[in-house]
Amino acid sequence: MKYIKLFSVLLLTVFMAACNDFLEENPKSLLSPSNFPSSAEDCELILGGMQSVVASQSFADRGLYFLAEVSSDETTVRYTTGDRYELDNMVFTTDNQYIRMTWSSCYTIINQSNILIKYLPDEDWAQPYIGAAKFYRAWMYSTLVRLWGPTIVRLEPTEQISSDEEVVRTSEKEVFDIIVDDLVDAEQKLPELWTGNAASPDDGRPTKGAAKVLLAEMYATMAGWPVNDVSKWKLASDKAKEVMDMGLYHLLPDFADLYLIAKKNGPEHIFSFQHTEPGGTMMSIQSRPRGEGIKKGGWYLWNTQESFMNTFSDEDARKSVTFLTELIQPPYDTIPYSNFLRNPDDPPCPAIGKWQDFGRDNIYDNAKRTALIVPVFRYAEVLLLRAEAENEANGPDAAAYAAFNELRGRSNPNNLLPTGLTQEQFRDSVRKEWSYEFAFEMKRRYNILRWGIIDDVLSNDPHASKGYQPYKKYYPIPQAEFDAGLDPSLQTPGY
Amino acid sequence: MKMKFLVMIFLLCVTLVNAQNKVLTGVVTDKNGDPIPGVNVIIRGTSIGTITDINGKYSIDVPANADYLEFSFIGMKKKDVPIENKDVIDVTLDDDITGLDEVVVVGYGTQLKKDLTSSVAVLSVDELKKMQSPRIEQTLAGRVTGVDVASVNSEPGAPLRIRIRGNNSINGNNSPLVVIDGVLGGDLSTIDVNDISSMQILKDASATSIYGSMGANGVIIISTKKGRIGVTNVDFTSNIGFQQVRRKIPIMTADQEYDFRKVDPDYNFPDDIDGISNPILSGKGTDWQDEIFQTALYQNYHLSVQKGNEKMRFYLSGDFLDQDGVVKTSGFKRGNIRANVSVKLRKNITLENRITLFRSSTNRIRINGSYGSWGGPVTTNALMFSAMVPVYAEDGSFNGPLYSTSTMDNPVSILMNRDEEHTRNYVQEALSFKWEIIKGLLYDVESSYTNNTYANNTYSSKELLASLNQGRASLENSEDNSWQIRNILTYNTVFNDKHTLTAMAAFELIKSEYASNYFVVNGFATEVLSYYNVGIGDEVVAKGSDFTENSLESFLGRLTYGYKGKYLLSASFRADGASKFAKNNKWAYFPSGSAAWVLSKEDFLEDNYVLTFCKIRGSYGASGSQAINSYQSLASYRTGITYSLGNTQKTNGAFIQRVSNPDLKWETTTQYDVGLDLGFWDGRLDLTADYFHKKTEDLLYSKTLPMYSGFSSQIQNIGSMLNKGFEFSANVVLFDDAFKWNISGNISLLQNEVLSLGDDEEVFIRPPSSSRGPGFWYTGVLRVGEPVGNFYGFVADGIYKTQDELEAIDQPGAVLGSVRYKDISGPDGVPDGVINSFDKTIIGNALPDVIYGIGTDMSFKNFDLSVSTQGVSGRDVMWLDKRNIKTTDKVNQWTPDTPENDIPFKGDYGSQTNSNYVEDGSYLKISNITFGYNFQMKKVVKNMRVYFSAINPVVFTNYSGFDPEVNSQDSRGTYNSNVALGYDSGSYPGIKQFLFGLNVTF
Repeated sequence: MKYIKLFSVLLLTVFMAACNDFLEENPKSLLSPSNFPSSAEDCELILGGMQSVVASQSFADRGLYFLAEVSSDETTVRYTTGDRYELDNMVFTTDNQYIRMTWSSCYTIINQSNILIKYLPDEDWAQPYIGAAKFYRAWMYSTLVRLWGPTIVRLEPTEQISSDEEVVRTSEKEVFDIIVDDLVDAEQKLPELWTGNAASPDDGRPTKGAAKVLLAEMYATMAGWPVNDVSKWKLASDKAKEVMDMGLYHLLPDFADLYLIAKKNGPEHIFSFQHTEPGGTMMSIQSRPRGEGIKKGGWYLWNTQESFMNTFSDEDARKSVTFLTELIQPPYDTIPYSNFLRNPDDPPCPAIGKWQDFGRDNIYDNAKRTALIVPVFRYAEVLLLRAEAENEANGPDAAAYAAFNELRGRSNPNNLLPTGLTQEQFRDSVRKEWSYEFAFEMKRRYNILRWGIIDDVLSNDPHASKGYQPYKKYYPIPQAEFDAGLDPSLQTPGY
Repeated sequence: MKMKFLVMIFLLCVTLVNAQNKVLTGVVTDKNGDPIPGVNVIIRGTSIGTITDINGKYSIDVPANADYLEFSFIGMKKKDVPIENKDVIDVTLDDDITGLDEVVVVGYGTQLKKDLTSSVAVLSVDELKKMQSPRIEQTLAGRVTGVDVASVNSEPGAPLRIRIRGNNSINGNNSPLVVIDGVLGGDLSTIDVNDISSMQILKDASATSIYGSMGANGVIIISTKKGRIGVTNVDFTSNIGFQQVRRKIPIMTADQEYDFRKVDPDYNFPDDIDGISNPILSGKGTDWQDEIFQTALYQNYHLSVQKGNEKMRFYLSGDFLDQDGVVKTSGFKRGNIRANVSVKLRKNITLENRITLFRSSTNRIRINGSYGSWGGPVTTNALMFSAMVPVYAEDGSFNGPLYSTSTMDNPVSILMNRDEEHTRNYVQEALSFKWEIIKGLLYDVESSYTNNTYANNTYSSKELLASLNQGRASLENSEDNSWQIRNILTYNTVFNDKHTLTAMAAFELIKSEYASNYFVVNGFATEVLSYYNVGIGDEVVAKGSDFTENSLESFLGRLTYGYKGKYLLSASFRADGASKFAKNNKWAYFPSGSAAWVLSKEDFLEDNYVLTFCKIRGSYGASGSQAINSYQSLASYRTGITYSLGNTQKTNGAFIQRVSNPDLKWETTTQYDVGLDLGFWDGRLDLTADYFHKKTEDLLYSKTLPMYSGFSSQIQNIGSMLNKGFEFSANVVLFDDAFKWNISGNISLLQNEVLSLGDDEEVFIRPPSSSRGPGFWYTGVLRVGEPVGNFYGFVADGIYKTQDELEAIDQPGAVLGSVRYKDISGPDGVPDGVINSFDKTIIGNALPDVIYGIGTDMSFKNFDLSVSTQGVSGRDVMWLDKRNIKTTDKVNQWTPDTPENDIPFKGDYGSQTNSNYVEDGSYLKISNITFGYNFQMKKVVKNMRVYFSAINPVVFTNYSGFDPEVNSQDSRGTYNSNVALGYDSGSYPGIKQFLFGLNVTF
C-alpha cells in the first residue's frame, strides 16, 4: 500500500508540472506586438524607428535619391557602368540594388504603419499616432505609385507568412484614393506642433502641416497624368491655401540658409529627413566631388550638367547655392569643376551644391557624415503648388501671382513675373520655377510624370535617352520578389 | 498488474525472513599477491554485499540458501566462487584486458560494455590521466573514432571545437551535449582531467535519442570521482613547464624587404615613408614576431583527498592552473574546487551531494578578423609590419606602419595599449537521492542548480586606431542560471537465468535563465584606471541588456532485453516539450531501437580461442537539435535604434523586426548505424567497425520573404543535410607481462552533403573579415549537393610572363607578373576568353575527409612511455593574410629583370579570391609523448611517479601559416561559424608544451 501511495504522489508531481504554463514563453526583454505599443511614450519610440528607416541609406540617403532624383534629366552620374550608371541612363535591370532597397523600405514602413493603425486603441492619446501612421502609409504609397505605378496594396499588417495569399497590383487611381483617405484622416488627427516651438515646427515627426502639403501634392498629381482628374486642381489650391493660412510657416529670407546645418529646422521646413552627429547623413560626402588635385574628396555618387546650370539666371541667388562649381581647399588652392571627375562623354560637370554646408568652420567636415537635414516638404513648395493649382483651376489670377512672386521675390527680386501672362505662359514659368527652387530635392521626376512630359523629357536627355522607353517611366518590381514566389505576370509591363 | 507487484514484494519478504545466516570471511589479492581494497563482494542473485577493506579482507553474512559469491572490481575479471560449506574464501583476481565487463554510463543508466547495442566509446581514467592537458577535449583528439576535435585557436583558455560525426546544422549549434554526473548541458572547461573517473561518447541515434531534442550532435558523458570504499588517499599532481610558438613564419629582413620594394616602379623609396619619424632600419631589422612572442610558463597543481567506507564516501579536490600565452600579455588562470560526498542513510537509501566551485580569468589579445578601422589583429600585424620600421620612435612612442595610409596598429602597441579580461565564476550544486525500493527497483531523484557569471571587460587606449584620441572601455556582464530535476525509476531483473530485462522510465524538468547587460564608454582624459573606473569617461556610447528564459519538460523511457547475453535488444522513447518551440509544435517525439547479436556466445564459436568475442550491432533512431533561440518563433521589435528628433539624437527607437512563425520547431536527425565488435585471443586484439548514415531534416534556414510583406527573411524549417561515414578502431596488446606494450589506432571517414536549402541552390559565404576589398567579400559557397565548408573563387594558373599571354585573354587589371586566372567557363558554359564571375568555382573544402590517430603505451618495470599521434587529411585552409605579408619566399618574385621567377610581382597573390590562398591543411601531429618513472613505496608515500610530457611537439604539414588546425571566426554568430570553416585570418599561433610532472599518492 505504501508504494501505491508513494507512486500516486510521484505521478501527481509529474502531472502538476505538466499542467501548468511551464512551456509558455513570456519574454521579459523583448517588445512584441502583443505588449507594445501601449502608450503615447511607446508610440514615440516607434515613430523614432520609422524616422530612422526613411532617413537611412536604403531610402532617402541613397536608394530613393537614385530612383526619384538621379533618374531625372537634371541629375546625372559620372560612372560608365554599374547600378548607378544604369539608373541614370535608363538601362537598369530588375536586379538593381536601389530599386530593391527603395521598394523594400516602402513596404517595411507600410507594415509598421499597418500595425499601429490596426492595434492602437481609439482613445484620445492614440489619435496623433494613428494620424502619424496614416501619414507614413500615405507617403509610402505616394512614393510607390509615382515610381511603380499600379502597386501592391497592403492595408493589414503581416502577421503570418502564407504562400497562398492572392496578390494583385492596384491601379493608380485606387491607390491615390487610398492615399487621400489616409491623409484626410491624418490631417485631422495630427498636431500642428509636437513640441510647441513654433519657430522650429519640424522635428521629424509628421505634423498636420506635412499631411496637408502631401495632400495638396497628391491632388495636384491626381489632376495630372495618369488620373487626369482636373477637378482636383481646386482642391490642391485650397489645400495649399490652408497651409498658408496656418500662419506657422514662412520663407527664410535667405535661400542659402536652408542648407546650413546651423540654421536647420527653421520656419520654412515643414517635414524633413532628420540627421544628427555622430552618424548623420551621407548626402554631403556622396555629393562631394573627387578629381585631380582634390585633397579630401567625397564619393561623388552623382553630379549635374552645365546645360542645366545655364538655365539659371546669374541674378538668381539660388544658382550659387544649387551648384558647386569649385572646391575651395584652404589653405591650399581652389579646384575648378573642370577637374571634377565625370563621364568621359560629358562636358565638364558641376557638382550639386545644396548638400555642402559652406558655413562650416572646417570646410573638410563636408567630407564625412553630417547633421544636415534633407527637406521633404518646405513652405516654398506650398507657394508653388498654390500658384500652379490656382493657375490650372482659375487661370493666372491674383492669388497665383501673389504666391509665385512671393517665392521668386526671395531669390531673384529683380525678375518678378510680369502681369498679363496667359495661363499657358504662367504654367511654363511655374514649371521652370520648380527646377530653380527645388533642383536636386527629389521633385523633378514626380513633376515630369504628372505633367505628362516624362517621355519627351527623358527621350531627349543625353543620359536617359540611352535606354529610355515609355514603359520605363515605371520601375520594375525587383527580381527578388519573383525569386521569393511572386507571380511573374505581375511584373511591370515591358520588363 | 498491481496485484502481481504486491505478491512479488510479499514473496520476497518471506524469503528474507526464512533465511538462516552464517559468516564468511576471506582476502582478495591480485596476481602478485597484493591485497585489493574496495572489491565488491556480493551474494549472487541478491542485493546482499560488502566491500574489501584496505587489507583486502572482507566479511559477509550469508543466508543458508546462497550458492555463489561474486567478486568484482574495475579492471579485473569478475569471479564467481561456489560457497558450498566453506567458511573462508580467499580469491585471486586476474587483470581484465578486454574491458567487456566494464560498466558504461549511458544516458539515464548504466550498461555492461559487452551488452551494448549502440555505438558508445569509452575512455578510461588511465588513458585520461596520462595526458595532462589543460583541457579535457584535447584528450579526446585522435582517441575516439568519429570525433573531430580541433582547436579554434591556441589562445590560452580558448574553447575547442568538437564535432561528433560531422556538422548537422547550418544555423544551430553543432557541439555535442555534455552530461556531467547526470547534469545536462555541462561545460568541459570546468573540469580538471584528474577529477574524472570515466568518460563516454555516445555516437549513434539509439544511444543519443534518449536525450531527445538535445542529442543530435552526440553526447559526451562524464563521471567524476566519488571516493572508493576501503581506500584513503591523498593524491597530489603537479605539472610545470613551458610553451613556445611551434612555428614562426619566415619574414623578410629589412635588407631583403628594401630590395623587394626597390623593383616596384611606383615606389619612390625612401621618400614615400611618411609613417615613421626616425630612420628606417637596415640589416635584419625588426623581427616583429620576436617582439610579440615569448616562451611562456605553464603550471598546474591538483590535490585530492578521498576516503570511503560502507556508510560514507567522499572525494574532495582542488586544482589551480596558470597558463601564460605565447603571445605576450595573453594568459589563462583557473581554480577549481570539488566536493563529492555520498552517504548511505539506510541500507537501501543513498544520498549524494556534489558541489563544484570554479573561477577562471582570461587575458585576451586582439586576434581574428578585426581589420580596417579596428586596426588589425596582433598576429597579422606582426607579419605585415615592415622589418624596416623600428618598434619605437625616437620620442619613445610606438611607430606606425611604413605607410601612414595603412590602417594598422603597431603590434606591440596593441599588446601594451589594450586590456581585455574575461572572468567567469561557476557554481554547481547537485543533490541526488537513490532508493532501492525492492531488489532491482531503483528510484533516483536528481536535482541540480548551476550558476555562471561572466564579466568581459576591455579597455582600448587612445593610442589605438579603434579608439583614437578617445580611449574606450567596454563592460559586459552576464549570468545564466539553470535548474534541473529528474525522477528516474529503473527496474532490473534476471529470470530463468536466461532473460535479463531492464526497464527505465523518467521524468525531467529543466529551466534556464540568461541575463546580460553591457555598456561602452568613450572619452578618457586619463587612462591609468583602464576599465576599473569608467566614471571618468566622457559619454556612454552604447548600452543594452537582455533577459531570456527557456524551459524543457520531458518524459522518457527505455527497455533493454538480453537473452543469455547473446541476443540483445533495446528500445527507447523520449517526448520533449520545449518553450522555445513555437506554439503549434510544442512537443517533439524521439524513438529509437537497436539490436545486437553476440556470435561468440553461440555454440559454433563458444570454444574458439582465437575469436573470443564477436558482436554485430544495428541501430536506428531519431534525435533533435533545439537550434532555435528563445522567443525566435514570436513576433518582436528591434530596439535601441538611433534617430534624430530635431537637433537631438535619440537611441531608443523601435521598429518591428520579426514576424511570428507558429510552426518553428527542432531539427530532426535520423541515424542508422551498423557495427561489428571483434575480440581475438581474449582481448589481445580488439577491432571495432561502424558505418553510419545520419540525415538531418527540417534544418533551420533563413527563408527569403517577399519584401512587400514588410520583412526580408524568416527562420523556417526547410533544409536538409547528410553525414555518412565509416569508423574503424583497433587495439593490440603485444606484451602483457613485466614488459607491457599495446598499440591502438583509429580512423574515421566522413562525407557531408547539403541536401536542400529550401528554394535556394547556393548561398555565398563571407570570410571572417570583410575588409580586404571586394575580391574577398565572398570566399565560400554553400551549395546543394556539395559539402559544407567549400571555398569559392578563381583557379590560379601561374603568372603572366609575356605580353602574348596577357593579350590572349581579357583579365581585368592584369599586367605582366600578375596572377593568371583560369578561363574555365562563360555565359554559354564554355571558356569565352574573358575572366569574370563565370570562371569562379569551388577551390577547396575545409572539412577533413579522414581523421585518424595512433597511440602506443609501453611499460617496463617502473618505466612507462606513451606516444599519441593525431591527424587529419583531405582538408584545406584558406590563408587570407598571405597576400600582404612579406614572407621570405617572395624575394624570388617575378620582375622584368628576373622573368624566370614564378612568384607574382610584388608577391601579390591576387586581388580576387583564388586558389593561391587555399592550402592543403592536412596534418599529422605527435600530440603527446610522456615518459615516466614510478617509485614503489610502501610507507607514508604509497606511490610516486615523475614524468616528462611533450604536448604537440611536432606537426607534419605542408601548410605555410602558423597552424593548420586553425579556424578563425568572428562574431557574426553561429551561422557564420558553422559555414565559414577553415579560415586563417589573424589567428593565434599553434603552440608546443613541455611539462615536468610529479604525482604522489599518500
